[in-house]
Amino acid sequence: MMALAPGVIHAQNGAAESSDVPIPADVQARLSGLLPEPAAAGAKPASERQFYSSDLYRYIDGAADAFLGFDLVAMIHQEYETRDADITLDIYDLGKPLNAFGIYAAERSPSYHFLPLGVEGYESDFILNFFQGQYYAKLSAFSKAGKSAPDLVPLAQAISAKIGTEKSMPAALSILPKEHLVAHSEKFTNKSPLGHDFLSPAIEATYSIEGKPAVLLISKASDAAGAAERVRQLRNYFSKSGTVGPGPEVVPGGFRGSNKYEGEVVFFSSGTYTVLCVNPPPQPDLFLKGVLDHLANPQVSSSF
Amino acid sequence: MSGRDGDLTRREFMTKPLTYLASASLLGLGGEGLLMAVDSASAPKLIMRPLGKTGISLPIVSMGVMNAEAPGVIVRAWEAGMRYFDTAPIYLGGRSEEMIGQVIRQLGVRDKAVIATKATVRGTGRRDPAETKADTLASLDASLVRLQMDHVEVFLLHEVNSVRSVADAGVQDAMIQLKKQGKIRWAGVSTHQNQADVLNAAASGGPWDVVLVGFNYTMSDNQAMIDAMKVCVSKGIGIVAMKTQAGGSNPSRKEVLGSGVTDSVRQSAVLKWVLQHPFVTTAIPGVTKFEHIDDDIAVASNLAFTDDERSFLSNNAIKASLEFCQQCGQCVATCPSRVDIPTLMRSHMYAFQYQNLEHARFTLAGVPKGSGLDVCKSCTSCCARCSHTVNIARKIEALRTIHRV
Repeated sequence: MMALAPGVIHAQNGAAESSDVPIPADVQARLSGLLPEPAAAGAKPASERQFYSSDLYRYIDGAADAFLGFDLVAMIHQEYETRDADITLDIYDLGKPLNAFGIYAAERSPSYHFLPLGVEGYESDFILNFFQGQYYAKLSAFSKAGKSAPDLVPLAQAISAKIGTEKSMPAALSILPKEHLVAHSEKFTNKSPLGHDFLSPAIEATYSIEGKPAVLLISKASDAAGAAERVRQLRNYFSKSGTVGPGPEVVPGGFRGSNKYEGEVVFFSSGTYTVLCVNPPPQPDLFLKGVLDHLANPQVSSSF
Repeated sequence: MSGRDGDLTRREFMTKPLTYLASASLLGLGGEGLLMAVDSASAPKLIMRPLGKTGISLPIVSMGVMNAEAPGVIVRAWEAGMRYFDTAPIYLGGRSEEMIGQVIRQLGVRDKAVIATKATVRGTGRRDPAETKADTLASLDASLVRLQMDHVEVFLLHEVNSVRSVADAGVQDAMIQLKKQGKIRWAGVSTHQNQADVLNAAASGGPWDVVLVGFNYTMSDNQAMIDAMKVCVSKGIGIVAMKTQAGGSNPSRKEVLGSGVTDSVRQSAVLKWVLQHPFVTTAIPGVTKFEHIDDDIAVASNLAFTDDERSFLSNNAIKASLEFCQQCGQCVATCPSRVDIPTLMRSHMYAFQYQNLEHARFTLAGVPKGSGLDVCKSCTSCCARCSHTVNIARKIEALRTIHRV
């Protein structure tokens, strides 16, 4: 497993920073209410609470773009101190569960050590991240000299309890067929999926079929005409960057494309969805028929 | 078949890289050998500048990998001629490093790419140097694992906001050791706050070869920082500019940077403004989509402003929307308490634009009693008005928050 990266940058001037952006008092109160009771976590606050919203750059530099791209409402930062370590807690309010999942999933890898925390979480020696509801919580520990890494799980559990009892994945993820799905590979992107604005928003995941990876991306338009327009834009893009042509043998009304950026792809529209399969499996028709059947299932949520 | 869409029988079927699968191969599902080196012979001729005393020259536009999630975008950047790729452990929780490492490896261009990553080290200048040294070394080792590389070209101490951080003996020892070990070629600092002081400190001595500094159109009157960059260059330290788009890629800043202007004009105008300062070696605008690369590369081969760009940069309404206080003093007459608003606005600029809280507080402290924030407290809401549309009330409210700290 690869080491996880630290999730925070500390203010180095020792002073609390202030937001240039007004954060409503009720939002601040709501976020403050998610902080664990110090005694329960065996930790005491070691800094003033800080709040950020669109000025998140001031706290995490360029990493802020990703959070702002998922419509960050606000975040709260609080440092704690235990006997053995300093702990940093950041709770991001993304406004809705799908956005919280989006930024959480952007930072996770299927190879991480996952935990049943919140809806889902993962940890390494010094980091624990999880998401639940509209919140994404990131905990980082910094051991004091000669001390081992502290257990962040109790603190995370305390936060999770304050968020609530609802711990289900966003309904929109049900749009992904489960067969052959690589666990923890799902993503939600609301900005430039595959590097293209016109595909926003999209849900994607990796599938392992006969040991080979294929990426399935499902882009949601407001109506069928919008989905068809995205197909036209994909045709235009592959025409300019590589090749494209009809692929009715794969799926009715579908297209095959290829270029040096995505490789081989198959794409088509179905209702309000534009479906793109990167590196399609040897028998793409079978796989994509399953996708089409799945999309036609009335149980599948279209709420993204 | 219609030729319009490039039918498969009439055009060469390109079976080059399956770049998107770079992300899939991160899943341990294979993907090895899927990518081939991209021929960049057709790329436009890019303006090159030396990176301090490192001995290398770089195209003036590079790639801030930060939040790029589509590996194909990196391949396109390479193909277009970008060679310097800036990442950090904090970007996408380490996924940014993993992805750039995977793509560079699969492109087979490791020997030609310049990879820059960073270390966030707590308490520099305050903690035991042995600890900051250990943290610096550990951070690089973790980055190298994620990058799947045995070295990086540029290794930066991240978020350096004070002189004492630049002078941290532990970090400096670590940088020297890493150079000797061949794990890094050049050391540097990245800074967002108190930038002039940080740059001057880096220029005064230490293992520093590169500085990564926030520099954009909104800082045109920050002469102290511009002078500090020139000092760095005179000492052989290369300047890499970030924040060049003034937040223009951030939707919340787009309104500020001007509506009614195309994204391309906005992006290229502010980027050219930065690069027209010859002491800047290269800029690293964040790239998350293909369009960004096309826009950035167009700048990298021609820094002359177009009429639209010139118009954008000279648009007083845009300048006003950037909320530059012109220090004209006309607002004072609109304030019932005759508060020294121009000085307060300067304090705000130091605090929130230059992010130098220390200087902001120093400036605030210089305002005589009876004409500063103390009298603002007697008003429930600000009545002062700016003829250039600076939102005085909002800035004063923000200043109050730092004043309380």
